[in-house]
Amino acid sequence: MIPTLTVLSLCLALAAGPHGRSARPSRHEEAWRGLTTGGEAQKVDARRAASADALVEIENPAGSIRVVGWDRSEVMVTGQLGAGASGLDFTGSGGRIRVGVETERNPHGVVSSLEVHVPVRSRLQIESFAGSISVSEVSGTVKAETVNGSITVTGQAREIQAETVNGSVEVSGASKDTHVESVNGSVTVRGASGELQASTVNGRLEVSGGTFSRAHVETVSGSLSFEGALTSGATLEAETVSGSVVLSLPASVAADFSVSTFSGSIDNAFGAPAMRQGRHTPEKELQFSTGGGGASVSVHTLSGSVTLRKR
Amino acid sequence: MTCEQVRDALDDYVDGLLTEADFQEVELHLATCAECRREERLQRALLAQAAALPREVPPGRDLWPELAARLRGAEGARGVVRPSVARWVRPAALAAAAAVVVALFAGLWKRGPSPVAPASPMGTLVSAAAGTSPALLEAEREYARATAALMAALDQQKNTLSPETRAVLDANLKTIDDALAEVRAALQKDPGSAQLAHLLTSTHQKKLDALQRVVRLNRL
Repeated sequence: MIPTLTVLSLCLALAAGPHGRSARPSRHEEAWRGLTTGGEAQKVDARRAASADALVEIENPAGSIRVVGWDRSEVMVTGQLGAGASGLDFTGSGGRIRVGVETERNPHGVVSSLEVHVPVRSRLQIESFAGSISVSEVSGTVKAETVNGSITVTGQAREIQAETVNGSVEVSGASKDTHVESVNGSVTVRGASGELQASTVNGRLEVSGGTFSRAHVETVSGSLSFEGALTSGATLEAETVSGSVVLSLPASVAADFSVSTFSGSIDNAFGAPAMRQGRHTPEKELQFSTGGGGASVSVHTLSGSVTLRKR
Repeated sequence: MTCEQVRDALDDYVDGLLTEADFQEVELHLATCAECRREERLQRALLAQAAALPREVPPGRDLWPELAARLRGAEGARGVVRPSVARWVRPAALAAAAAVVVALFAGLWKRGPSPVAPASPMGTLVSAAAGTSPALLEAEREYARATAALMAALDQQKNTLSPETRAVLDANLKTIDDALAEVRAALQKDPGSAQLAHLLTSTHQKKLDALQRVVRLNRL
């Protein structure tokens, strides 16, 4: 951050030139300097015009970000900047808007809470480090990332990408393209369909959705459950190291199954029992088809148990 | 347009946000006004320098094709497991990780003769993975180098990374390391298992993904 500010200062000096300029700074200069200065918490209440499907970039290093879609062609930011914030970078107009908390010291200690109203069809790009993120009532696309904090997305966003390290991710809605990840936290996906990629390391991963054409779900030690239907020709892949796997699929599913576990158990409600593969290892493998085949279902674990259920 | 009107519109002009009519008017004015042209150049210089600030490590070369080829070679008769996963999930993520590794190594190399010395993890790898294929071992080395480079980058950010966050990260990395140890132990019993080879690489990848995210977002 300090080098960044230093370079920005140089940029400003460069922009000022040898003969000085008008006293009124440009919008870009204001953005870099921050609209306000001071060490105390400050209230924010600002708005800018935006197009219906504007790209809205939001950055808040620590605290919380709450984004709500509305039917107005403008972005409104309310909330509070934490002590130590030098200002709010609220710039752009029309197709691209940026909202960012500016700080002059370690940004992770500046805890700000922002509530941002955006046009309902906005395309969101949200970043935090030590902050939680929630998005609701947006039908455009959502990309949200944090390290220490949970992410919640509800509503009708058509594409969702939500990734955290230490926190849960919860997505509920009708997304057709969903990518969710955590490391230390649970991942829950409800109502999604189409394409899905979901993973966590030691949290629980739960998917209950519609009909998927491609789904890849994985954990390391967390348990994994998937409940949904598959299109003909769909691909469903589930993988854990030590976490258990439960797949609940329609009894009528037409799919080719490939299931293996090195030392776990396999419980198959669709028919054939698993066979031990090696004479010297406990590895079990199961391959079979239902309904004449079509979709591809593969499940692989090291020591986690595998359960295939009809629903 | 007057000079004042043009200067009011310069922000949107350089951002490409003006309507066509306004854009043409500003262009017309700039063609005849040296002072406003100077203002415009200063605006663009400011933006260019700001845009040049390093926010992410730039992409380097994609190591995935080499890794996939080595794994294919290693898994020979049993074939590469789940190529669809490799095509869909891994290349982009691994390319990004590999890019970070390459860039970080390049940056670190310039500072001294010993860029990264992941002696301990490499030593563990060699002994723990004895019996596995050379290709997989080489893949493990690649991941170990990548991990070491990202850990070094993280150490350089310790002033902005809270001890609590670092502790959480370390605990989760340990979970992943424990899982890797389990997979390696299984591979020693069944060195030819393509499923286990895939589990090993995908578990490594999770570790890289987590580290990358922390390093990148810590720059916010």
